[in-house]
Amino acid sequence: MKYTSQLSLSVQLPDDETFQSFQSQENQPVVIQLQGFIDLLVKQEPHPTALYLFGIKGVGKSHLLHASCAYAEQLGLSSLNLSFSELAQLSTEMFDGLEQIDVICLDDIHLIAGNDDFERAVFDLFNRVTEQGKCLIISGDQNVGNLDIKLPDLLSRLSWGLTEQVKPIHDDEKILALQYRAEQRGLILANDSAKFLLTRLSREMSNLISALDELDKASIREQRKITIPFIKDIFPHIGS
Amino acid sequence: MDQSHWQRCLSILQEELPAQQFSMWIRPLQCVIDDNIVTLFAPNRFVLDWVRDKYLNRLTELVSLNDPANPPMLRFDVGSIPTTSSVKVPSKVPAAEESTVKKAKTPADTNLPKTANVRNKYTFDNFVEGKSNQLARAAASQVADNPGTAYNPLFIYGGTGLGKTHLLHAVGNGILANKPDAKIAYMHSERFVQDMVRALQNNEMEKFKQYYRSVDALLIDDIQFFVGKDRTQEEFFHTFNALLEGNQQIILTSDRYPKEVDVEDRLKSRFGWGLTIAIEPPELETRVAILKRKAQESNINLADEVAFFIAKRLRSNVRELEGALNRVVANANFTGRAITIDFVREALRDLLALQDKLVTIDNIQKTVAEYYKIKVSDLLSKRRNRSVARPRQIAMALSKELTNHSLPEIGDAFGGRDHTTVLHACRKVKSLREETHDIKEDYSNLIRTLSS
Repeated sequence: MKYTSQLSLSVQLPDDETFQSFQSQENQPVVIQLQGFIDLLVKQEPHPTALYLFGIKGVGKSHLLHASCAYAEQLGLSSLNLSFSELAQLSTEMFDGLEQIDVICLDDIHLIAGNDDFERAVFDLFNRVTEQGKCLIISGDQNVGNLDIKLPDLLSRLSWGLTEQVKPIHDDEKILALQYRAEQRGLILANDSAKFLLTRLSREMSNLISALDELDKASIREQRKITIPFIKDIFPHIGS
Repeated sequence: MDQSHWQRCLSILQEELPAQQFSMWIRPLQCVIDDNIVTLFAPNRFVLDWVRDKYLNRLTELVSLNDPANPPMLRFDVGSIPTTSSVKVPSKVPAAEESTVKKAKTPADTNLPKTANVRNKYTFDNFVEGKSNQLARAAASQVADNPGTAYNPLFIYGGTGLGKTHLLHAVGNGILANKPDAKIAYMHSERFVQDMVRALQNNEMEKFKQYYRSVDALLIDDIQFFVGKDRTQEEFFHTFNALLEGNQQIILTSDRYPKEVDVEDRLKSRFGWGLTIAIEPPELETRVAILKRKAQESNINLADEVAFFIAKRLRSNVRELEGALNRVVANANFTGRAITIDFVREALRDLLALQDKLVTIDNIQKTVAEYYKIKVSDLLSKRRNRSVARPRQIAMALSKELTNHSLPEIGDAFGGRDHTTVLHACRKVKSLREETHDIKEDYSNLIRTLSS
């Protein structure tokens, strides 16, 4: 047993990446499509093999994929979310047998562009998933036609099913999303504090949530509420 | 320990781990509990090793929480529990019995059922025929009626998404319609490779050979992916010979002409022994018919003008057309709006913008010049020797077909030529495409490059 390589599992924050916590009115059609797509699998009705989501970095694509897995699990389906941001650690062997899983999410497919082995592996997975009647939910930072993927067979399959664009989330929705997440963590994040974070930090949701995580830990440690002065203490570089 | 305890373990892990790690490594695990033995099934060896390496300690702690004095034994294995059949009653994880566990594929799985993977939804009846694919369809249909004797092998080649796979399945279904107990195997070439690798690993090549040589029809898709797989090619060569000798049907598809498939020469030559037939990108009328057929299958009434609007803009392959229609239908279902041209324009905004961006006269000139290895300035020059004049005519014809520019505008863009020159070029290219295989192929390749 390799005890040395075991992760030390510090208690982290609850995973709340569900459809419910995806606060974006404009992207509600995307949520409905995703749910409807997974529902087709549950009802064992004919469905396209894949649903492709695209949008710029930070619009919540990863959130939607995690939420799809959570939704699938609620319905009794098996699921997996494979992120290509971890590509360096992965091997194409990772794809063996995945067609047995009901809902397979592949995040950031643009990161495999030009990597022949991975392009082939995803193409092969697509064919196996089609044969098994399971489904893929795939995200990328570009419309299929703009992806730099070299294998035309993979590109044509990506364009085959459903495609949804995830639109940028408005600032007021980001504030609501941050407040929702704060509430899930038992915190109160007042409007002015949320706005302060939004105007001083990178406005990508993932960064804002990381900041919230840090504030949460600090607020427990220092027994303080989250206020603008407290935020300035924790992130001195944005204080001025 | 029972399933509800495993659910508690999952909830704890979900809280402890970042969402990405949880969704990637823990979610796909499936738990089977038998007596006091907990077996976690991973979809493959890679996931299993990763989980054992990174999470074993924590998992051992968690499964022991209920009864630390008598902790269950934790085991790992590769395999899966089918869930889809039991999903009608929603539950977190279906209660699983060990007998339902599907272990990872072994060569025994190559002992496939008689109609391995033939999808009954692809038939000749729902194959939309047009000029671009009618020969391929006719040949496939003859093979379905007379397997092993009509054309053997039948080799169908063409770009991605043009209907090759549909025809393969249609042949399979056609043979079955005439002879319900026929043994037919459809597979993608990668699957053949994987089956063979497993057979080799498990020392079960005899079983593998026996299976593949016993089928009435072997349908292998995308044979070009055999490239670089020498051992597979060797085995396929022998399978191929055995099937041919036994008058068993072989149908192969590829994205290129047999001689251009990068496999052993002896295989290449055998590919051409029967009938080799191309499938071309569908022309406008066929694209419209495909859209109308697909819409009908989804119980949608797609007006002719809307079908023409989509078909005129998306030319590269049928998958792209179907994908576009899927988007339109999904949007219409969601918004409850009627499918009009304006609605389609909105629903496919990004896709259409992309096509418009790609298909400009500038881009056509650049692509044609690159294709024929000449300079764009040659296309615009007054030079009239054939090595320049022919590509120029082709570029003009493409500009007429792929853009909405008028003939005078196209003439202007080609070094200030008269519109009658453009008209002549279009007519010339049309007749050359009918008479000369090379020009026909070049033109198809250029259209595919420009519109994919």
